[in-house]
Amino acid sequence: MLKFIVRRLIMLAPILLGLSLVMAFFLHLLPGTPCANILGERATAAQLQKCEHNLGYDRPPIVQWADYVVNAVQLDFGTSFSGARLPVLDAFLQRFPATIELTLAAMLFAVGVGIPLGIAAAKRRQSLLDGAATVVSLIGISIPIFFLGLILVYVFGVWLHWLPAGGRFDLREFDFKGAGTNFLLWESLVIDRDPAKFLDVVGHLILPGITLGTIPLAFVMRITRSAVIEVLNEDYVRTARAKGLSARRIDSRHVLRNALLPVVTVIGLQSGLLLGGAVLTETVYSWGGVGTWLFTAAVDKDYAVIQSGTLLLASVFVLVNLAVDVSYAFLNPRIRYA
Amino acid sequence: MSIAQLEMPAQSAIVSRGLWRDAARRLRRNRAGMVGLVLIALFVFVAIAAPLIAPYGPNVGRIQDKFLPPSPEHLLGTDLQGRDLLSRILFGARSSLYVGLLSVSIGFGVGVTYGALAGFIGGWIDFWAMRFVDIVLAMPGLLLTIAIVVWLGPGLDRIAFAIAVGNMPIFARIVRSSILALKESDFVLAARSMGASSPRILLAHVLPNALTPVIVQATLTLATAIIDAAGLQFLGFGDQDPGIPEWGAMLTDTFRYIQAGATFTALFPGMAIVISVLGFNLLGDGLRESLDPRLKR
Repeated sequence: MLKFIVRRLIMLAPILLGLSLVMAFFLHLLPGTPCANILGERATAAQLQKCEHNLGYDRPPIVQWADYVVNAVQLDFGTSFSGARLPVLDAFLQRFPATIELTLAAMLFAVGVGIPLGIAAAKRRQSLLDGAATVVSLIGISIPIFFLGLILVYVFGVWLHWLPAGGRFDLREFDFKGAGTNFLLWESLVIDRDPAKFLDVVGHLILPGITLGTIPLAFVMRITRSAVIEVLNEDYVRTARAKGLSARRIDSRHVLRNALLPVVTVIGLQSGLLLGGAVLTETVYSWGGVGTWLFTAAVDKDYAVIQSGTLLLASVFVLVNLAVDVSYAFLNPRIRYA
Repeated sequence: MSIAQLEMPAQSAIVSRGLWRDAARRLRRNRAGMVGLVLIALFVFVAIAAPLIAPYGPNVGRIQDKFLPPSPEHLLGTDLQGRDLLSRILFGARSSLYVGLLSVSIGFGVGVTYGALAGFIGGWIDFWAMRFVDIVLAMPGLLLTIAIVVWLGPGLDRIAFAIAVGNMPIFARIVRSSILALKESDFVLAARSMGASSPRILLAHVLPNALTPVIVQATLTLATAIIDAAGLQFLGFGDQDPGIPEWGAMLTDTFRYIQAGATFTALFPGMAIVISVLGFNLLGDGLRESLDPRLKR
């Protein structure tokens, strides 16, 4: 098992190296250099040349890439050109907690609704409930995420005033300057021990969580349904019934334990995707996560952020996938990674 | 049971109508798939016939008519510039269909060629070709598309191209895995022993058999392409001077003014997206079930 993890971690290096090379090549294809953005439109050719020389953009691309890799290995991912001109890693660490909290909320919604709905649909196949669940999952994957977000904002935020329409907390009521971890759930509950603050943060998570969680919900529901149907037909379930076990015991010990294995994979993969940044959801709810961060960087042609932000997120994605594979082996003793 | 009795059903099973006719027969019995087909037919009809069925031109409107509620003259009301919302939605089908078809054609063409060659050639070319696919797939989804649109500039064609780049690796992977399995099959060995050249084996024998799963994927990708295009228009990457309305951009515009007096009909461009996407998703699922009967639930 340990061997498997180590080997997968070693495999990570060539993928990230390749990704950084592709990104470097891609950025080289962009017309101009970041200097044009730094100096503005009225910069003279001499100024541009000097800036390019100082920042090393006049060197051959392969040298620039090698330089980048050497720095990145030492966790120096360059500095953002726009805004507060933070080192990219600092900016990433500041933004990523917001994305993690949003992902958690979305997956909680997807799992909390998707699994019970999938089980219920599987046990009453062809019923009204099954049909309704199928329709919900179809609409879930057919509705543009920003459209759903806008509807929810309009109905619950603007019209009914039940929930906040955007942001991570009520700026007029609270501030989060203390600990600076940017994990607001953690800070409000554990560090500040302020229930009102915590509830405010939770309230701000509801609508974005539902919006972002709708697509994973559809997948989780579908997989749960088909897995439960498959397990219900297994011999060992029939044996359990024949032994006279109670329905509840069969469900919890025999059906769910086996049916939830593929569901775990889907949950893991979806979480990995969501951690990659939800540009549209974050835009609708003015959520300061990595999605809007990279989006702005792409629009501003902020090279360092595009290059390293993509790399950092890809690492997270690959690591989450590895965690999924490992957890799978723990949940299913029949799988042994040699 | 005598041997003769056993052979009878086998005989009739051999009289096959071919993969596609079988699939078409099964699709006709698939209710969800047929609903999808009807929705798509409606979508395509609207896109083609928009000038004939739309009550007004897509860009005709007087500013003093802005935000009119639904009425017999304007069934869905008007937008900020007093243009008829229904007409704009009908014309908008054109840009959605265009972006979907263009991006899937590019993604399908390039992805299938790439995956088929990699799988068929095999060896280290296949290995490195697939590592490149891994790298592209490791990039955060929509961000890759956004980066490409930023690079190319806004516009419908560019949006389609950017979405296609994101979809190429998916097509490539699916085709490659089918081809890896197929190239070891007996009919390939038979063709080779008959002296068929490699390109002929690939084009005439392997590829046609490998296309089934990609066609299903293409249908489902049309759905996501329409959604992604709407998302990019929402982020402001649509055509800067749209002669033809775009549903994603319309939705952003009208929603921005919902408190300033726009009515609930502002929702309708979004409904149009949902209906067209739903059509492709239903058809995709239906096709998958009818092309591979083992998947039938």
